[in-house]
Amino acid sequence: MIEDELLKWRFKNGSKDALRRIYEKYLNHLLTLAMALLNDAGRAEDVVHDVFVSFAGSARDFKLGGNLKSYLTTCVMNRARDQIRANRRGPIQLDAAESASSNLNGPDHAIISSEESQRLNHSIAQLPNEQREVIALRLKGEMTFSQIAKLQGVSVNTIQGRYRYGLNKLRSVLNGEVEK
Amino acid sequence: MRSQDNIEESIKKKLSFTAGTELHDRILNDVLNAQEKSKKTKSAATEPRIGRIIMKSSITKLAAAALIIIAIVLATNFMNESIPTVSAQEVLAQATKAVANLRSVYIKAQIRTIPHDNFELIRLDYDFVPNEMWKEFDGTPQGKWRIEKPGRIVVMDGQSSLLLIRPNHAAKGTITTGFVGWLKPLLDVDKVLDSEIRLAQEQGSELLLTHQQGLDGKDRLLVSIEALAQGDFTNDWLRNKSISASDNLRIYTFDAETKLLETLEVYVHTAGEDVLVLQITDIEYNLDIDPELFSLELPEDVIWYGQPKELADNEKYEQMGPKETAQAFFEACADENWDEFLKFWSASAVDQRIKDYLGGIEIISIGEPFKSGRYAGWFVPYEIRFKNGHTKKMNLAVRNDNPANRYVVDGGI
Repeated sequence: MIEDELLKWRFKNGSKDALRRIYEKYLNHLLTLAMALLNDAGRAEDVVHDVFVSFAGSARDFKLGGNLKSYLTTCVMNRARDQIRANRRGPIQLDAAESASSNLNGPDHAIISSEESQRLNHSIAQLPNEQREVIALRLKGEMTFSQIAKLQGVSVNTIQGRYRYGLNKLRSVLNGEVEK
Repeated sequence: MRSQDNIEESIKKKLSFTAGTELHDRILNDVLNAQEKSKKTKSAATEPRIGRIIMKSSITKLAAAALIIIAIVLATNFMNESIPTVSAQEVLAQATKAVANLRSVYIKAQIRTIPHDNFELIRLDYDFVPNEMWKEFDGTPQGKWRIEKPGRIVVMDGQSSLLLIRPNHAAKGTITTGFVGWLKPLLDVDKVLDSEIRLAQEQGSELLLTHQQGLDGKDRLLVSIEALAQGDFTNDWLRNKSISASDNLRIYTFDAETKLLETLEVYVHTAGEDVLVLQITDIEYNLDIDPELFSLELPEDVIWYGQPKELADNEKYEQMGPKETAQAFFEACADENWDEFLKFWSASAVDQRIKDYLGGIEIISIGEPFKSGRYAGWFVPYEIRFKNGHTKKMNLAVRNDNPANRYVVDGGI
């Protein structure tokens, strides 16, 4: 936490090292979040790329207040939403994901993950957008329900409901896999 | 059947994607380029930062004097509407109350400096030198304290201060003479928050107060001060040679409950990078301090530094400017005329090591004096050749703000 405060100050003052450290610290966290929201390696890469590039150019206007990790998490979520809207579809579903995520662990190792991780992600991809977002932000973005409620513009109760329904559906999906 | 908890735990722990090397490097390259591009765009802009606008406005300065509210942020409540605010005034009131029963403090810090040189000196390329500080709060404004690094010690026994420069140089000071520059306010740990906030007001520094919750769940008050170098740097000789002569970032953390200082890091901003120059590595409160720590045993062959006294022919020396003083000082060295040397060197005797070092030198050049930073005296560029043939180019520091009103050498040898 203290390190982040320092990094923000240094970044705002043009430190290349601080930017590099922020990048190293949060790259994989944001990539995982983007994958959970989009289930598409190419689009997740684009989102994380755009978030960091935009962040890098924003030093002058960057507000020191607030939590750096939450800030970057929110940026990823907003850009992932833009991607979903632009494509008029949600995250790539299980069948399509086979090809869309074909670069996972491929020869160029663009995004590396375990089989278990990919399986979980494909399951999350089958949830409705709102539920998927809540689960991703809560469990991978480490945000509170009230923070997510504010982002989605709904009540905390609604968010907790979406979270509960999302987990139930996820349990069904995963149990279905087990039973196969 | 999986329980809800197991699913949550699986997602938290097992859902993980990592950037491969090629992707990592490709994005990083674009990110750093974007920063560079942004810097170039910004360099054309001259708009000062909001924090400085706030503190430089006379109206807001007045407002700040009444209620010093600077900036408040709550990391843990980033998106929460109910963001609590903290004013410096509020914090100070709490801090004063919290430190009322403070008995002692021990601070260990590392500073980029030279072991035997003055406590205020820093250089960005120096190695870290350990500094230790003790203070006993005895109800008097000055208290008893000790600051020590490998080559230099200062103690205050409650009545007067005493400086020892190892192995055998010493100086006496009064209650207010500190010899320790910037470290003294740090040792006044019960006032450090107050003095930093007041300093930020006076100097127009950016100051940010935030509440943070650490990984240990403990609430902390974080105070960040973005300060500009103080003084005139038309000649930048003194720039970055002390914390106050540098553009620096000071980050303090205080226990939010007790308001006691926990950590401090000081970074000096340079064009290329931010350099950590001071860091508290340990701080402990209310330890029993051995009273012996506040006294010093001096060596038998001690040589005393002190204020220059009026000479029988003081008028002759009063008339010398900085350049003439440097010339006369080095001529005394060249001639190994140590009685004359002492007229420019405010000590009780000349140490044999100084005689060996400076005796018989040859003056190559003496340049034009200049001012730098907030130093009260002048710097005189010089080049000399030692008896062994080696040469040295440096700036001699001379000052005359003393009772004898004549220039004496204050550093730069």
